[in-house]
This record gives sequence, structure tokens and C-alpha cells, in this order.
Amino acid sequence: MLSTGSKLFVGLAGLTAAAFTVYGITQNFGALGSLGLFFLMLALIGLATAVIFTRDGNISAMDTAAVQNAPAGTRPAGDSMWPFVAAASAVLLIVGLVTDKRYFVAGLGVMIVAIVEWMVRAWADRASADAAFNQGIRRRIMHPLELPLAGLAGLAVVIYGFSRMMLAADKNIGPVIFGVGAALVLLFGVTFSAKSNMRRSMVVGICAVGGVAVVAGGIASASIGQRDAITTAREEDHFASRNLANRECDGGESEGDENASGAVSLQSNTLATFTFNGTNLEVDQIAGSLDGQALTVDRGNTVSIFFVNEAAEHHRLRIYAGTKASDTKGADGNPIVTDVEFCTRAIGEGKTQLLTFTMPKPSAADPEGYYAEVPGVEGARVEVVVP
Amino acid sequence: MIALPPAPAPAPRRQLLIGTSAVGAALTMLFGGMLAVWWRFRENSPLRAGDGEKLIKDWKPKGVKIPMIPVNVLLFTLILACLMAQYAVYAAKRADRTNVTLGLGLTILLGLAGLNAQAYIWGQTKVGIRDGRFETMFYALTGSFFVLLIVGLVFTVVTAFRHFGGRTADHEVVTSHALFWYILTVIYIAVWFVVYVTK
Repeated sequence: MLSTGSKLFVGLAGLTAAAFTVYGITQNFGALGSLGLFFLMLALIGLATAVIFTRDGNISAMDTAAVQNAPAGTRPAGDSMWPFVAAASAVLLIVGLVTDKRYFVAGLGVMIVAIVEWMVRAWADRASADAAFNQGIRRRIMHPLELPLAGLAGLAVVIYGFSRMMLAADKNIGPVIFGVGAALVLLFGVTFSAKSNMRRSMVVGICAVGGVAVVAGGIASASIGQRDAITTAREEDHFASRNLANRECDGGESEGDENASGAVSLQSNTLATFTFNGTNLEVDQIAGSLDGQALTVDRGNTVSIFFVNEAAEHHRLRIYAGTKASDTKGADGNPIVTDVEFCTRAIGEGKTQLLTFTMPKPSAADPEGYYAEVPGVEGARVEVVVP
Repeated sequence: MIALPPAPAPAPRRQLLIGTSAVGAALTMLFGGMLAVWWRFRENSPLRAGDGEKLIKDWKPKGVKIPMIPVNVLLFTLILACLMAQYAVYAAKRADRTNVTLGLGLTILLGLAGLNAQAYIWGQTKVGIRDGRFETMFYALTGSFFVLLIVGLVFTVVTAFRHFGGRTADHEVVTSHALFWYILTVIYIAVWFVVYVTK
């Protein structure tokens, strides 16, 4: 026998089937209406089937076991923020999809966390009739995961916030901030350790104030931006980075050369050292078989070399690595051919620069052969061999 | 005269199953609406000369080739996923944890294979979402289905967690899970026919 709910859905499904037929015949089965009615009919048939299958969800009031076991007869689940977090992360996910992939990744991460937390919470809430026991189970499962991850996230926020502050602060004030921050951490650490009876809320409050101060300082510093010296140094490439796109490799000096760093970390892993004494350029390749004669570099390998200037004037090292055709065409209709070259900044006497590069092709591919030279000095040239 | 108190209202049962059915109905209407718009777009497109002297509807850009092998593989993958989800229901009713694990595990595997197949279809079709109306609607339909597949996978993971977390007597979650995969498959069959076959 059909139950009350199923009669409703069966009737609606039948009505929709009739509407679909009439509409189809009179409107020559037009796409929008016909398909809409057809899918409405499908949905109603699905609902009618579900309602018939569950017999309207009714059970006899005399069936004590069924009444007690029914989900509605059990204690409702407690309040949880995770459905809200999951919904918010879904919004972030969609916004990230059309704006910035960082939002998308953040949304994805938060959604995974929210689903796992929600799933475990829902499961634990039904573990027993005792709420405290259920909470204990949830903690036992989730705390080994939650606490390290929360600690990691907190640490990342503190480090990132502090780094923004240090990058924004003047180079003379930076050490002061660092020292005062470290002293405060030491002071409170000693206090917490010495006064073991200190109230828990006070400890939490002090830590929270410290955390908020770092985050707020980080946000404020990030909005101000890095100090001018760093911005200028990056723009002019004082750090001799691998971004060689706009570097001029001729014998002259540019604005970026004036403040170029002349010191290199002792930890730099280099293949060879080029030394220029004012007239000659010499190479000392570490473990090389062509000492002083030529530099041998494997093709495709990223290598670093030192350039030491012992001359009184400013000089740079330039490595010529053949030519390449660009995408743009010249007046004659042929692609414009440019040199493939890598060069250091021009540095003064006794200074050293690091140059990192990758040789794209074998040196035999170029009729001129590859070489390293000091631009503007005749004869200061060393052959570069790329097998 | 002693009047007996009224009997308590019967408690509703199978809320998850009814909820899944309601979601299924909503998804059916969503995809029905999208497919209706798709069909209308096709109907209203202008005519152009096709191969030979035939006039054909100019709705699909030239050069767009839909690879039918992964499209059909996805269809059979989803049918197999339904079978595995139903297998999990069968095993759950017999309190057979090993085979519930097998059923749900294979459902996850097939769901991942489905995601991979859909991604492969996009890669092979080589159209950009902003290239035109056809492309935008194509991605809207297939992208929505892709999201549904991910939801199906999450549902499978949650079902597995609840079952292996000791709720072996709760068959409803496993049944609802199977119903959701049936709904996914029916929706894909509609997309498969309208978008991929009758192109």
C-alpha cells in the first residue's frame, strides 16, 4: 500500500509526466521546457522511490526498540563550528579559482581540515551517552594531529610576522627589535619557569598578547613594505642573483655596479676561480684538468664561479656562450640574433663576486668558441669548453 | 472516565537516506537545467555548410575534438563504482568488515580514476574556458560534474571512517553512499549522451 508521502510524490511525478507529454506534443519538444520537465519528472520519481522504500520513515509507536534506535530519538549532536568553516573554505576555494591560486590552495587546505574535524566530531558525538567520554575520545584521536599542526602553524605565523618586521625596520633599529624581543621571551620564560603556581589564564594571556603583537607588527610592516635599501638592492641586483636579464655586460659601469657586494659567503660551492690582475685573466678550476688554460663546464649543469679583481680599477667578468635567435624579427624579416652571455657586477680592487650560470649548448656549436673575458681589457680572455 | 495519553509521535527514520534523495533531486534539476540550456544553445545556433553539401548547425567550433575513449571509460568506471558501493552495502548487512573495506576501497579507487579520466578529457580536448560559448558551457557542465565526483569521494571517505569507527550496525550511511553514487552515474549518463554522444 502506498504511504501518504509516497502518494504525494507519485502524484506529482505522474502530473509532471503528463505535463511533459502535453508540452512536448504542443511545443514540438522544445529544448528548455521539455528537458526541464523531463528532469523534474526524474527527480520526483527518485523522491517517490525513496519515500516508498522508507515507508515515509514511519515506525509504530509500539515498536519500542525502533523508537529508541531512531536517529531522532537519540541525543542531538553538539554545536560545531566545522560546518561553517567548511562552507567558508568552499567560498575561498571558488574565489581563489577565479582570482589567485594562493586563495585556492588555502581554501583547499582549510576544507580538508574542516572535513576531517567535522567527520571525527560527528563520530565521537555518537560514541556514547556520556558527553565527557565522547569529548575524551575525540581528543585522543585528534590531539596527536591537531597539536603539532597548530604549533607548526603558529610558529609559521610568528616567523613570517617577525621577518616582515625585520625587513621593514631600519638596519640600525633591527638589532634592537631582535634583542628586545629575545630579552622579553627570556624574561617571561624564566618567570613561567620560576613561578610554577602562576595562573594558567595569565600565562595564556601573556602568550596571546605576544602573539598578537607579532602578528599585528607583521601586518603593519608588510603594509609599509621593505626598507628602501633592500628594494633598491634587489632592483639593481646588488646580491649578484641569477636574474641576469637586464644586466649590462660591457666594459662600462652602471648604477647597480656602484653598490654591488664585493664579498661572497665562504659556503659558496664554486667550480672555479677567475682572477684578474690588471692585464691577465687566469682561471683555477677546482679539480680541473686544464688549469690556467681553459674552463671546462658540463652542458646543462648549473655551476657557480668566483671572480676576483686584483686590479685597481673596477672590472667585471663576462662569459660568452654563443648566440640565440629571439622571437622578434628585424627590419630584414629575419629573427634578431643576440649573444648568450653571463656577467658579474663591476667590482673594485680586492673584491669578489659569485656568478651562477648554465651553459645551454656545446661550445663546438659556435664558430667563435665560448670564452670568459674582462670587457675592455685586450687579451684578458680564457677559453670556456662545453663538451 | 480515564483518558489515556496520546501515543508519542513516531520518530522519523532514515534521515540520511531521505537527505541523500533530496540532494539527488536537486542535483538532477541542476544538471537538467544546464543540459536544457546546452540543448537550446545548439538549437539556436546558425547553419553552415558541413562535409559534402549538407547544412549543419554551427555550434561546435571547428578543431574541437572530444576523445571518446576516455569519455566511455569514465562511464564504465562510474558503473563499476556503483557496483562496488552496492557491494559494500551487501557486505555491511552481513557484518563482513573485510568486504566492506574492499567495496569502499575500490569505490575510492574508481572515483579517483574517474577524476583522472575527466582531467584527461580536458587535456585532450584542448579548449580554453574563455574561448567561446561552447567552451564555457562545456567546462560549466563537466566542471560541475568533476566537483560532484570529489563530493562523492569525500562521502566514501566519511562512510569508511564511520563504518570502521565501530558503527557497523549503521547500514544507512553505507546505503545512502551507494545511492549517491547511483545518482552520480545517472547524471553522468545524461551528460555523456547530451554533451559527448550527440555532438
